[in-house]
Amino acid sequence: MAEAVVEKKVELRVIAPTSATDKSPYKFNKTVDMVIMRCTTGDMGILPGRVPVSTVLGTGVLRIFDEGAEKHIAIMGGVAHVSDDIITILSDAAQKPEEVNVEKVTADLKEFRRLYEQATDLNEKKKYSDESQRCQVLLEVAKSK
Amino acid sequence: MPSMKAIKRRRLTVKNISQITKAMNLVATSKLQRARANKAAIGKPVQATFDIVYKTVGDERALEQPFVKPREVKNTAYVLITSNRGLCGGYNSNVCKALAAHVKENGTSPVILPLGNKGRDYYKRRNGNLVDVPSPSETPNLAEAKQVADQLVKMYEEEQIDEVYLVYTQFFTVLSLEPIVRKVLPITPNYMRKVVGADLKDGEKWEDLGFFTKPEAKAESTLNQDVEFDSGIENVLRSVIPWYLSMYLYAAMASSALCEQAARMTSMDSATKNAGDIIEKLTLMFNRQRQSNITQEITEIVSGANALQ
Repeated sequence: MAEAVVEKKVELRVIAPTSATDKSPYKFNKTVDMVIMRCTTGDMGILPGRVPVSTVLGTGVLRIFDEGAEKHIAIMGGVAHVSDDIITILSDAAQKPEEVNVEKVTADLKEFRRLYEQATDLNEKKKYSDESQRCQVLLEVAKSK
Repeated sequence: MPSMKAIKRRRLTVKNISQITKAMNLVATSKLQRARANKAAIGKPVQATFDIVYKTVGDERALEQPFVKPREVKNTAYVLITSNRGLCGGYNSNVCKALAAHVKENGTSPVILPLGNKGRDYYKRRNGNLVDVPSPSETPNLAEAKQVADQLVKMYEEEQIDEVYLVYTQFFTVLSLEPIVRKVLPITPNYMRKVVGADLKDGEKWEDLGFFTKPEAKAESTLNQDVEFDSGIENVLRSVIPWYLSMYLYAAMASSALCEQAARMTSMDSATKNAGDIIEKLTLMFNRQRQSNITQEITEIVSGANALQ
């Protein structure tokens, strides 16, 4: 007799400074099939049964795969830890697609690009380049709505 | 004995004050429920963060890293959590006194980061070495805690401070609130193991910080797994530390906010009871005075009538 295959999943918990409300302390908390996150060293995919790992996250899109569907969350840096099939992400800022104000972000992106062109100081250039990247990530996430 | 008019005026004043204290008691009771829910909601994220911190600092490679390796202590930072407003009994002065006692015992030069106007005013009057930090709002939030945590990390890295203590009030019951001084930096891996409580050695007891419930013991197989540090342990640690501090601060702020409401509730309750006692005493005094005035008038009338006969 064939044994029933127990499908394993990973639990994803995203904690961000703006996420703690009376209802839930997490920005996102769900069991999913797979997660791909943007680390400072490149993209990292997490499947059930992963060996414990800690990593630093960069600014990028967190891709969540569950039952054939793909969801996106914008993550603006932070740290992720995986152990016992639980992924905990501590993010400095995280935004879901429905929370992105596309018009405002598009205007901000235009402004940051203009400031980047005008800036002469290297530190300023880096600052505006980071801000532009943040806006691009938000717009990419908003598209997946 | 004061005049009837004076007693009446005083009784009215006490009555007005008792109405205010009664209203404040009711407001504190409702805020206490909200503060309790708020504190309970952040328990799990705090536990998750502490778990990550323990797994990072518990690694042998972390022992030589900054924030874990102790250094010679010249300046000690104290984050003092008090309330912005008074009328909450001994809540603020107790926590300030606990800090003063610790400073005396520790003997290093203190740098105080006051979160809350009452603590700031207390140390301003005593010419304490204060660092300017924004006053937190009544309901604590993680963004505010993170600001202070980032400031602490910067000061620690620039060696302006060599260790960090958190001074706040821990909630046991509404009537039992205790001022606590806890060391948060540098992190001691052994202490973190006791705080997290999942990996206790024989004879070790779980250290209850009052933020979350005791975790269940994990299976041996999951405990012995080594953690990979994809971006290098120093980078992971550098990213984890601000989170550890902000979550610790956030939880301590939530605990203190709960204690503030509990302290206000009990002190306003006893103030209302005291006002009731004073009103009773003044009413008795007023009636006695009235009685003696009537008696005096009757005596005067009777003696006047007798004189006429």
